Amino acid sequence: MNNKKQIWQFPWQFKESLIILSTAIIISFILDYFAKNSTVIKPVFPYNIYIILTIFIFETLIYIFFKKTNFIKWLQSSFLAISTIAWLFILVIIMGIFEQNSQKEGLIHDLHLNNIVYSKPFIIIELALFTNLLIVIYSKISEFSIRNFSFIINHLGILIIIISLSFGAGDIEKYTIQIDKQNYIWGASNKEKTTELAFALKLKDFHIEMFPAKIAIVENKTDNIIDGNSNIISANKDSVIKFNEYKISLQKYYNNGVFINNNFYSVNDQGAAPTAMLSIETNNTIDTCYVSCGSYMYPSKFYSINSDYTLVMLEPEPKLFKSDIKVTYKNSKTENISIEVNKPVNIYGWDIYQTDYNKDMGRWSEYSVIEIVKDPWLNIVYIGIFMMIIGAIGIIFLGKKSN
Amino acid sequence: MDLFDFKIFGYTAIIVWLIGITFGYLKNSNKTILISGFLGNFIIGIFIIIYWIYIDRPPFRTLAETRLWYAFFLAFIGNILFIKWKLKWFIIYSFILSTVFIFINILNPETYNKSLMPALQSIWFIPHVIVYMIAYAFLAASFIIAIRGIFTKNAIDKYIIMASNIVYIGFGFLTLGLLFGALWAKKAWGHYWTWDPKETWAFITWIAYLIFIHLQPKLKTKKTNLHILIIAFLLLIICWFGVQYLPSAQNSIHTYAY
Repeated sequence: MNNKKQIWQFPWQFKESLIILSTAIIISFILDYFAKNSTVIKPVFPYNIYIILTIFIFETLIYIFFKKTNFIKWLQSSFLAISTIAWLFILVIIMGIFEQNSQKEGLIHDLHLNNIVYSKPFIIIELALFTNLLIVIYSKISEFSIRNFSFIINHLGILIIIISLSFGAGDIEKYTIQIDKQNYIWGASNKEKTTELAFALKLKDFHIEMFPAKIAIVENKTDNIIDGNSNIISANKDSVIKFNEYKISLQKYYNNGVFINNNFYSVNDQGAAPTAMLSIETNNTIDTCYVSCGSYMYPSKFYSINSDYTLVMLEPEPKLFKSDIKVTYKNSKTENISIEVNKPVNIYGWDIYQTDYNKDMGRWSEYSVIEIVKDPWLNIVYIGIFMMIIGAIGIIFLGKKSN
Repeated sequence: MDLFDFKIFGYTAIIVWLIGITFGYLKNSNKTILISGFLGNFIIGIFIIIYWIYIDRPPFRTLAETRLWYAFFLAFIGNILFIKWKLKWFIIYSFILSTVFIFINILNPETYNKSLMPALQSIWFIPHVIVYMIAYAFLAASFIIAIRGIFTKNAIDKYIIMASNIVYIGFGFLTLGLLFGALWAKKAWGHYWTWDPKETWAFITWIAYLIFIHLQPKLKTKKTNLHILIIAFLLLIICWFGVQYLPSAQNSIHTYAY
């Protein structure tokens, strides 16, 4: 007796899933190829909601009326899931290899390989995941157990995130603004559009703290820093470099120093730069010298130990930068806020981020660069992420279902 | 003696493991193996604490620091699974892998950089990296079992079941790492997912294990399962150490991790 299943005979498994999905993906690649310069337009509110509701209602009705059919069983099957994930895997690998959003020509550009998220094959995958996840959740929801709960919360969490990422992307507004102490900024613009804000921003004060600068030895021939812990000292403590016959020790560290006519002064003036006083000992001599990393106003100062090596101070790295901002609302109320990296502030649905400053001027930067972002889908995404966190803990503790 | 010298701690841990395993084997004493296992683990743990205090910031920033945690967790998981399954070969492999990572750190001593840029000063910093290192250590354990399973003729189902049990735990932690990263990214960069190359590769790794989890019940005890686990772990290594060499990563914002 031959009971081997013929292709296209239900229940559909890998072969059928892969053929259907691959055909759809290849066709969408071809469509992308012939429509070279068109990228997928991410729908904006309220159209994205209409699309989501249409798909949702359509699939829900199909499930309700046809849930016993083989076709619906296939739509919720892990065969379809695995085939979809496998194609997602391929697309994301392409993203991982080719730099995204980059200027490319030829086949990479024509097939949108440098812009996968906005390619048609990616949309196909999103739709397949939407369908597969929704229907499998429906099928599991009817019977309750702890394991099913973990399953549902994981899959629903990812479904929510996928929907928000794909259909919510068009609603995200993001602008970079440069603010200074002179003018209020009432609006923002990026490549796509300009927006007027319900508030105005003005820089009150820009504040920056640096880590103590490091002092290192550079080989003149190669211009390279002599590496290793013992050859670099941090200027905040009594550290010593022992290098060949030299013993270099830090005597004093000044946050602000200037050199005028080869004399050193510790002053808190515009452009004053971190400066260190060092002593250099050999068997029979002791020398004292100054090194400084310089600033936008003053050149750096280094010290030649001998004809081969030079002592330099490296640029200090920022520890914290912060903008105090004056916010004025349309009803002429004002408010002071303070933002720093990792600590955004929310005003009227806009998250305000500290991103940059005038790096040449350092702590005398006369402006601050901030980014304002509005993502109406954010709370929905957080719900999805929260569900997946619970689900992940479920996976860790429940483990694998024994089979 | 400089307490801060990793070599001393690294070599001591390796020697303790070597002695423990040798004697444990000769005397057929699981207890000896286990005591030496935890002792070596403890020594690395002590170093991490001293190091943490010395550099004055959480030691999660550089690749060498992640290797340190990895060596610690891998040995720890080796010990725990040894208690559970009493598999001598497994604990030996996990010590070998742990030793490899200790050696890499001994051979490439780091220039200890105490500074922590503003983007990393976040409450998410520690949970994000720790959870990832735990995930990586569990997934390395599944990799060891997969390699062993591939070279076995019989009882392959035993290896597949063992590996998938571990993958579930590792995958749970991997998911947490990804999600914590997303929550952090929203605070630091303004968006929870930007398809930065490091994110993309973390996602690729996650999908690879996702495929294993969905496919294994269909493939049951076929060897393909183990091949998938090996490929998935290689992708994990690319994500961890290889992303910086890829053409796609030229504008990555994860640069401090290299």
